Amino acid sequence: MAGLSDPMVANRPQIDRIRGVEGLRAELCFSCRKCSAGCPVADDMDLAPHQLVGLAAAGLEKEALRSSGIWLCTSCQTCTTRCPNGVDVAGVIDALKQRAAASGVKPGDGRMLAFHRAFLDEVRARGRVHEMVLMARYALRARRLPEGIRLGVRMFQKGKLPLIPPKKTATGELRHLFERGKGK
Amino acid sequence: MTARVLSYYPGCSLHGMSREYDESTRLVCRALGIDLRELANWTCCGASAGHSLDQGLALALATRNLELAAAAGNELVAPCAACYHRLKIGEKESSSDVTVLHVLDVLSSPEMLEQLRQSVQRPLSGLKIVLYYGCLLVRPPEVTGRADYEDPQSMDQVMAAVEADIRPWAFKTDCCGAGLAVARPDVVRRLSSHLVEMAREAGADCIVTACPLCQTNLDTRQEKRGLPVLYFTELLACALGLEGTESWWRRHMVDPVPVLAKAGIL
Repeated sequence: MAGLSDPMVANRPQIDRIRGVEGLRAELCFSCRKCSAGCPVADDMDLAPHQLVGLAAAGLEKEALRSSGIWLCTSCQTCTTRCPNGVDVAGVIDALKQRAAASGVKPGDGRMLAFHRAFLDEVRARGRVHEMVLMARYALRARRLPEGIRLGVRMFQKGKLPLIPPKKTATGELRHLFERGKGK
Repeated sequence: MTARVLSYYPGCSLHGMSREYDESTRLVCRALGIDLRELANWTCCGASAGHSLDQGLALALATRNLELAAAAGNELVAPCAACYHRLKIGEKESSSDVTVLHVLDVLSSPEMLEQLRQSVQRPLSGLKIVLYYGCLLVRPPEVTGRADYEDPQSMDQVMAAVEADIRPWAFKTDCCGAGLAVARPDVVRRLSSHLVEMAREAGADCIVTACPLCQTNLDTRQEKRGLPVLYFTELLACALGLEGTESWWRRHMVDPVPVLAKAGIL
């Protein structure tokens, strides 16, 4: 885990606190670890859900922003559903992802951040996601071929993946939605 | 009986890699007297990318579609568990008075179950299945409003109505990891192969899903001795004896035809 005075985060603008955010209730965590016990990917994470919530509850979320764990969260909502204190654990992890992406900290898993960005690029450009174009956007963002490219070829051969993208839908309206969210 | 009219939100996957889910949903609903009217100009719900990067944008993307549904004046039904979940959050957090439903909510009402029982042409009694609900259809209960989120029953009821041989298993709502499929297939392979293994151990001939992301994820990551992964609507179409199912099977990575033929369904 990074030290408190880590220059990677110390020189960045102040990150909004997660502790006290209405609805997330991070400060109610009493470290029972039920969230991590039921998490399907806890073993793949550098910091497990209870540790991420613990940092947020202590007001030390900066320490969690470089974690790979936040990006590996599948948003399956098992932790949020089972927390005995009603902490929205998956919501806390979302808040960490949002702050990590906005702060410019080197992401703990650059491929996942690249995927999310590529996905929203595609929504903004087309209104609806076309899978083949999404893969191309991901490859450009991540600067690597999608890991499943051979699988993609097999899916294409099966006729699962349409070649022609759908026509654009409501892209002017969506541009406003994307602009309005900027700076938040 | 007058048709029940519902606004229909297919979502991106049902116009892309999961067209057989779209086609089977429409076919089954039509046969049961449900009039699905696709929302004109619907746009992506934002999926996991939206709420991972921008809370405000995620909500705006969902509520935009709810506003279209409000203008149409009907309840809104989505077959994709991920779309359903995002739209349901929009319903909860915006001032929208549109009710968001999953197709299973519509088909598991007592009247619909009775109608399914009456309409069976080819009972699925020879087909051993496990039902895989996944995550976002059921969790968290504050969003989905479901009381049976650890052991959901709606798909069980629907498939029991067409007499399928439902095998009990403990993995109905375990995560398959679909959201990581593109960037971290290494993690996803472990999650999905465990589910397939457990389905086989439960004695199932196939896994039945109600989500395009779950279906694709489980269907595409199997080695040689594959277990078919089907949409519940595809099996309903078979059970109701509907025409037009042939083109669906070849789009599955694991060919379901041998299993369906052996069970006497095709």
